[in-house]
Amino acid sequence: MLIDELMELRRELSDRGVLFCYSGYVTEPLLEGIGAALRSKLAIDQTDRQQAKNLFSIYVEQVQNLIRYSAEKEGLVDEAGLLELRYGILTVGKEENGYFILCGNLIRRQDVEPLRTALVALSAMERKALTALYKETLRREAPKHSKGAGVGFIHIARLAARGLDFGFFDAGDDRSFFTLKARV
Amino acid sequence: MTILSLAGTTRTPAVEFDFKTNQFALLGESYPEDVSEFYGPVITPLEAHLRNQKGANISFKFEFLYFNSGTAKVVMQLFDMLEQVAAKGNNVAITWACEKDDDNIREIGQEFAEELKYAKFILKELPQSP
Repeated sequence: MLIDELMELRRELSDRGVLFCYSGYVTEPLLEGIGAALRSKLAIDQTDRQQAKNLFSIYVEQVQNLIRYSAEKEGLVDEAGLLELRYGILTVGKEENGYFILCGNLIRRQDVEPLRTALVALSAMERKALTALYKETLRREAPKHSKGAGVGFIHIARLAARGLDFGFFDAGDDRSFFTLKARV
Repeated sequence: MTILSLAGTTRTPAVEFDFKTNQFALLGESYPEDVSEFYGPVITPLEAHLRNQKGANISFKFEFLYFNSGTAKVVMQLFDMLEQVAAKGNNVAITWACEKDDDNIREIGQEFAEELKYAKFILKELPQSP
């Protein structure tokens, strides 16, 4: 990347209303740090309280999804145990009628159809139905099995007052790039 | 154990469990890095204690400002546990406190409470935090 291109990238992001953008290996301390900055930014902007809470809540679920489920990972096993990093892209931005969180990560191609089916169903549901489904899913999934992708997406769908957009793009090598945009 | 007390952190709630008076509370934010690691040592002694209660007055207060989906599973587990204790003849009151304008937390509490037959559910609205 050339030094003058960084300025261009910055301008491009600003033009699209992006307040935060991170592309790289995602960790829990990073979730906490960006989360604190996001809350400060929303406080400074005097964002509506419910909107700010929903945005933060979706932010946590989306970033935890990147940390847990991104199929783009590298690791090292040594005496201290397993050191693992997962790659993802996170953006938070402002648009005409509210805010959005847009995340992307690689997933295995075999996971595309089940995920698409689940998200299509969630997008069509009303809030009351989502809350009922949330409860059902919580009861079905034991707390130990935090691997079930279900409940996090229901949590997001419940809070995304202006809806969800998602897409899957072939990334070769039996992988797909999955993007999810939640709007509040 | 008579008291289990943990200070709240950015990501974990304050825990105030008084096993002698049967008053229990979780307060604050909850999105721990590892839900089982945080809640396991909190719930295990609680479960052991509650199992032995007979005809007791038990009060459990949830006062969350925010919790993630992983925590929601624990909350549901706690509701189920408290309901069982109430079904065995204990007098159990669950207080669900949320900020006045927090529709999400209030609705989740009400949704969880629909299952309760024996435990009493009290919704409490708090003034907004600054």
